[in-house]
Amino acid sequence: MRHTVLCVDTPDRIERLEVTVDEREQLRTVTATTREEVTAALEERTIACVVTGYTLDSGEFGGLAVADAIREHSPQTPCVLYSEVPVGEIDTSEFEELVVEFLDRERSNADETLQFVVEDVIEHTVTAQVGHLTPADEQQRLAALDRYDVDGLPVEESFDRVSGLISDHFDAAVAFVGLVKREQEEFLGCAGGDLQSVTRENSMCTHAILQEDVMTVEDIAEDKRFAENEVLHNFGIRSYAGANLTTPDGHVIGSVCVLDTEPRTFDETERATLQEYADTVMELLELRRQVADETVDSREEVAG
Amino acid sequence: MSLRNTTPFDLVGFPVETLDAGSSVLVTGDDSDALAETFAGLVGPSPDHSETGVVVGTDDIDSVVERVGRHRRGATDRLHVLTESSQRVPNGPETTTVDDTGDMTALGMHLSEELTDARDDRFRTGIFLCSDICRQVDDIRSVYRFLNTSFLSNLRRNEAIGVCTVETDADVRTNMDSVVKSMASSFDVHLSLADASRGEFRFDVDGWDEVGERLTVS
Repeated sequence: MRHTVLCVDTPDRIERLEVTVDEREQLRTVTATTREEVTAALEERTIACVVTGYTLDSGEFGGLAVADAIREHSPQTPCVLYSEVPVGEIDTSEFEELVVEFLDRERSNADETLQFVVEDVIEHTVTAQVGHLTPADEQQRLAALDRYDVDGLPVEESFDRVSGLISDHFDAAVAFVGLVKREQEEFLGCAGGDLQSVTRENSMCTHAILQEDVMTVEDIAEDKRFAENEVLHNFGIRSYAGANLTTPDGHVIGSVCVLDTEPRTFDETERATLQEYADTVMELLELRRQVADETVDSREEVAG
Repeated sequence: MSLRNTTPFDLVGFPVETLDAGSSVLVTGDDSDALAETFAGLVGPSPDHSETGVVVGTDDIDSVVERVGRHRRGATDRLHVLTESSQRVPNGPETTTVDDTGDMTALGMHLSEELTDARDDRFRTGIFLCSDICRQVDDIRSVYRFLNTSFLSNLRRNEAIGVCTVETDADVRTNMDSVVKSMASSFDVHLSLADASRGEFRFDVDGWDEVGERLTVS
């Protein structure tokens, strides 16, 4: 599979950059030398990586314009800053958290290094620039999650009801069942809110699944992992408790959680109860998976 | 360009002689001497193997540099330190000043630049202390992003090992236990300080088969 790389540079240097990236079989390029072209490319295509110079032509079109466009149109796209400008002279506030890699284009073997880094960044896009850490068994965990083929299981109503029971029990504003997928958390059921999927970087459960025990956050505003998280702020969340959904073979695929709009603590009994709810939800998922597997086997026997 | 090489990195002051190339090690504990001693034993570059060391230093980096020099003669000559301008590393290695080690984007760029320069050699890299960086930032996600983007990626791409230290009693305005568990999940090896006495530091070990479950550094 070939990946598309957006190359951004001045008109006199863009061809050289394009040729450099294009040398790799796995990569194809599109180019941009203006803000409009950058925006159009990000809107029209799936861009696997952006390679950009820092000092571009006009006063209004520099690295900042590229960063702005990426943030607006494709915030998960990794970006490589390929520049002859020393790091100390670069205004990092322009890029905020976007730059994955900085390469000095003046150094020897710079083009070869760029090719290598672009391919590596694309190959590892999921972890290349994300603001969360992944479990050591991430690949096996995702494989375990796939086995539950949740899209094919009609579970939403059941888990909405379960979430309602949990919400009532804890007298909490919101309760939900969430699955932590490769790039985002998706919700199987929810009570008290209309949750859409969230990126793992913005998901609290992505932290919870790294803990063996129930994770609680008494006040999100006082916790640096979440205090600057706008998604949580917009939803009005102040406190959190999450218990892991652990498959029979030991992989954590998601969490059962309660949220509240006020700071609150969760005592040991409440944590244990939440874990029991999570275990029950996991049993439901496991039973449904077994039924689905047996149904497929039966169909194959009939067909055979 | 190289990815992981099978030639291991030799160690000084450890009960095992080597650590595999590509390994990432998280060292956590509440004793700064234990962290500094262990960090120095891991990141000190071996002159015999054309190695370079690149470390990000916050508080007490001069203590680490001194220990690196004590572990290996000539090692500090091959060490490069990224540290804040307020930090001074006397009689020490080449130093790059970073305006603010809490600016994760700038720190990542500086580290990428130094490690790109070091790519021609094998290298050892490290962060002492990551908990200080966590204390400086407003959003821990930027530290995780830095670890993913700049630190762990470079271990994946090069013939290198990396060490990150976390002082567990630092006030980082979040649940330190959870931060450590999160970081530990992304590192190959976790050394968690169990006991420190009379210059002997005993660690619980996770992920280092050659060592087993316990490790003593002295």
